Amino acid sequence: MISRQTSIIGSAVVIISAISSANASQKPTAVSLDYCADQYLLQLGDPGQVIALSRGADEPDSYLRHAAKDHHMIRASREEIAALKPDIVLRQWGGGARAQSDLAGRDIDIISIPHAVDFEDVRQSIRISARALDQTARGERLIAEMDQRLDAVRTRKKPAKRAIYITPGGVTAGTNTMISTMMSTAGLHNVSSDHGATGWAAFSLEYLVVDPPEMIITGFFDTGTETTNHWSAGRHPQFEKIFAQTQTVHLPADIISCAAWFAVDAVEHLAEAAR
Amino acid sequence: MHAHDKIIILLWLSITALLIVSVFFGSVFLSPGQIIAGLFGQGSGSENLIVQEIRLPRGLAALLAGACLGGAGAALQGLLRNPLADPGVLGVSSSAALGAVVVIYFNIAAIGFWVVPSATIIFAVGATFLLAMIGAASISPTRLILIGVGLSAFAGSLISLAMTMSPNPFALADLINWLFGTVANRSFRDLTITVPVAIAGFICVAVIARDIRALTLGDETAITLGVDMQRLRLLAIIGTSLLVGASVSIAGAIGFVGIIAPHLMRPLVGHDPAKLIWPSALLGGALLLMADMIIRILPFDQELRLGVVAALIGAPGFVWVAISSRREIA
Repeated sequence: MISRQTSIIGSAVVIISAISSANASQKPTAVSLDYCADQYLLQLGDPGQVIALSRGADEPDSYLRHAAKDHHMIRASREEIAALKPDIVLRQWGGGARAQSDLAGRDIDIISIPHAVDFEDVRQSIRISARALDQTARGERLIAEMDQRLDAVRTRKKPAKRAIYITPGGVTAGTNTMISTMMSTAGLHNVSSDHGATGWAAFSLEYLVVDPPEMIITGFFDTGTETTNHWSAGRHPQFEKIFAQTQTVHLPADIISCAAWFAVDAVEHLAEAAR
Repeated sequence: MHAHDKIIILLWLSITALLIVSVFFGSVFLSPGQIIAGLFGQGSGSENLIVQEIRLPRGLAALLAGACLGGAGAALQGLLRNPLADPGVLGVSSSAALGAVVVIYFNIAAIGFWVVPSATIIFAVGATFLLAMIGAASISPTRLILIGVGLSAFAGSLISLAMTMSPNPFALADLINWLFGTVANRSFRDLTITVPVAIAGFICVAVIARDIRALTLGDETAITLGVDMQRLRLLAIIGTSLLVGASVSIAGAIGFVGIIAPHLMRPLVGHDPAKLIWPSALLGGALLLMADMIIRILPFDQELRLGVVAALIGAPGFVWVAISSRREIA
């Protein structure tokens, strides 16, 4: 009797797996053309949907680099994409501005993921990618999880600390950047925006001397391919003094290299440091 | 007092005045009273720092880079007897920039702040030795220019290769700055590396100044006047290489100052190359300092690059020089 039941259950599992597999195989296959698009494809797609990723997918600043290792990686060239015959191509900047027209007429849908500067943009990017990959439910679960974590940070928000974000290139994040959004969500006040910086701008050493921040947030100092830009204010002895005297929070490159759902990791990191 | 000496004094006074005026320009507004107090260390901590540690070394860096280029340009134009000769003509500027690119690309620059400027100077001197090994001291000026063009193209292509293979946008931005030039964020620490090299370069050029004057009469006449042509060419190349290396190490590759400064001074001090070197150096310094002040004043989010502004001013001047000196070139 037990043997018969086991046999029936076993058969059912096989049938369900087969149906599931058939469904998976019907989902669109995809190629991603840059490491931001790679993250969305790896997170939202089934492994069987991923035909190829970009060559940056397994680099140290790629969030899902470990998941990328087993996949084929290509340059964003028309030839390679055409040879792989994907149903869709996911891209943010990969392939260049002409990617859409270059790949037109090949029965390939080009899905452009917008550049995000806040979490609403990230939600939109997730929905666009999930819809293209026929993984809408998975996308909504990812958004819900992200929002839950953001709410948790907001509830423990403390009075704003004055902070500045810098990279080895001497660049800071002004208003209208995801980094600035991360800082404000974590309860930090972005000093660069006070000085009129919009988008990505070179940070002024003079402003830093006159108006020193309480916290310096650094990004991209951990990739091993970065040195402080020879021309940046970050190399100046005065900056080194300020740096040595100020609380410093380092953000790993993989959580800030793309404005995506894992930006919430950075928000939690900053919120913890701001306490 | 000779007219030449008066011009030298006038240029020194102008440079001093420009340097003082330059500390009035920066991203943070400071009143004239705060700036003067900061200049003499009597202001608040931040005012003293901004004026003395940020604006003053920046101005001095522009001055030094321009002086090196102007002096090297005058010496080279005298040596090569070519009014279109420029410090970049021997390929030393691009070789110096290649030095910076190599240490940045291979992450050697992370060792310390001195690595990049040292690499530019070493590559400038290396390019000079290469020129010396292939007989630059004895070959004709025309062949020397041709070799320089080749060396410059080779160094330029390696820089382009490094930019194409750049590991990330930040490294690319760093590499680009070596081609466009800037004195933003220079400090006295940078000047401590560059100043001794520049002084050595100026000494070399000063030693050969009189011989370069004899050269205007032609090689044969110069030799009959006792000029050691090999020594002259070697010292000229070493001197200009050190000057160009010093300039590139502190400001990146900047064109046109070396060609324009001697041409602007010629109507005032005459065609004697020996008398042209120091005024050209001083004028080169003043020109680059003025260009940097323009950059500081312009209200753009991103600072313009010094090499770009120098080229915007210098390129029309270059065309003017080429047109007005067509008889000499022909």
